[in-house]
Amino acid sequence: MFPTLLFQAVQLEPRIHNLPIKNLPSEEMVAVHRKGDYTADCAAFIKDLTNKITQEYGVEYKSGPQGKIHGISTAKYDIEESSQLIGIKSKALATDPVAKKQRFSLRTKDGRSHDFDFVVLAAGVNTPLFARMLSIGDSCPTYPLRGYSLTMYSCDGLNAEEIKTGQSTNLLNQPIKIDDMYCSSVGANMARIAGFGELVGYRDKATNVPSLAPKVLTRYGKTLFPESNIKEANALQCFRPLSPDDLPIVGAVRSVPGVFVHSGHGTLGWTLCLATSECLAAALTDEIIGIEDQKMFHLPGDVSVERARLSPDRFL
Amino acid sequence: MSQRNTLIKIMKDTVREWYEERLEMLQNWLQKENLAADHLLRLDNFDYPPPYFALHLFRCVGPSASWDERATFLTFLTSFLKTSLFSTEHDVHERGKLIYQLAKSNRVLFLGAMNGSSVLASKTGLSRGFISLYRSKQDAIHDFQEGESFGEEFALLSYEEVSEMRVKIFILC
Repeated sequence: MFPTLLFQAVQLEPRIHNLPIKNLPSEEMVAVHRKGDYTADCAAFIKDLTNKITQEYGVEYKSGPQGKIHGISTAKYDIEESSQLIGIKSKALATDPVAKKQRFSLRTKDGRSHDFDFVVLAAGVNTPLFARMLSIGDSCPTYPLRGYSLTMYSCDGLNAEEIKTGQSTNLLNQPIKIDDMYCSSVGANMARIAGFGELVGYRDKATNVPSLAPKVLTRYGKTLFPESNIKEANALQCFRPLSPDDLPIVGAVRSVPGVFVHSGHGTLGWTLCLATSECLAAALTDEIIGIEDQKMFHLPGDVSVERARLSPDRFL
Repeated sequence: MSQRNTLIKIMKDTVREWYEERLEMLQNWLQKENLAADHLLRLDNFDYPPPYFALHLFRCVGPSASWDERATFLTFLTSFLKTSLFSTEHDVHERGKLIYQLAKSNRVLFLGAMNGSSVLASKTGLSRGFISLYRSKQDAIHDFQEGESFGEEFALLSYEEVSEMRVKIFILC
């Protein structure tokens, strides 16, 4: 095990030595090198992905009053009829598009109403509020978990001429996790440190709740990047949808046919979202084309996951 | 995370955060009054890990929250307590295993989407490898063994070894 690691020594992160670990008994401080992990800036990736699916697949995004959802409701006949209807209706949808019936009515802030056959609740921390509008609150028991992030800029290692000519440097060779805080490089001359889990309510009303997090992040950031200009005031809040059992909630809600949930990733959104999106796509496709009683999600990387383990119905 | 010891950690961290906040206010006041106030905060001392969790119950169910917000908190809390209190070691292990499996598939999909694009790799600051530092050997060994049992490529090293490797880095450079 160790020779491999020694061989890879050049990849290790020298900034770890800025941390005053020497005050601790050195035999106690241990590091685990996760060699197969990847890190990347999710915002940059999502921006690229959004452009691609807008241009190549014609996906339409609505923003402003047009995109702000005010309410969502189901047409009565869908709720009154039993779940036996799923197969029948789905098969009809597959063979006869005319048989499609609108089942969900969505009202936007501009006063307009839109009807849909299927609804995917994937509204981040607000997902349980939408779930309550459809009377499926118990199938989506997530709650916002507030965290903080702090981005640092530095031109450390570049001389004046290089800075002048716009050359950039990578601030970290290896992302680091220490005391549940994650620090990684997120682009040229830029690193981000993030962490904390605070139950303080919903974003709109919780941004003014005091926290020690910005102070702690600033202290760790200054220790790791003494040359950067870090300010406590630059710490940003982020709210993550926390699931009660740590696992994301993905799949169909059986009590209201046509509703799907994709939420509850907690602090692992970027770590799991592409895989869980595949699960969601499989569940949605199966319902549309009328495939019933599928037990597993088969994912790339030779991974098979039991559907029931991620299902919104597991909490009922 | 949903285990009995997480519940204890949430309580401990919440009390500690409350205490540190008051202590910070006291320190600020003492400094304003020109009284000595050095080293009051444990928060400024690297020897103590900072609190991770905080629970502001009043904000979650108090008058500032709407009925729907309160209901979602209570729904979450009920499920969270149930899972945390009644999860066996086996349940926790199985949940961890599932997360590792999903993460593995996620990596495959991510690399497929990147499709070898160096432009996108540069834009996203793509890097391979990750170093987790632990304050206790036991925690590190637990993490290492868990990762290995799920088929991940992990390696364990002491801080001494990290320090020695730094010397090697300089020599190599």
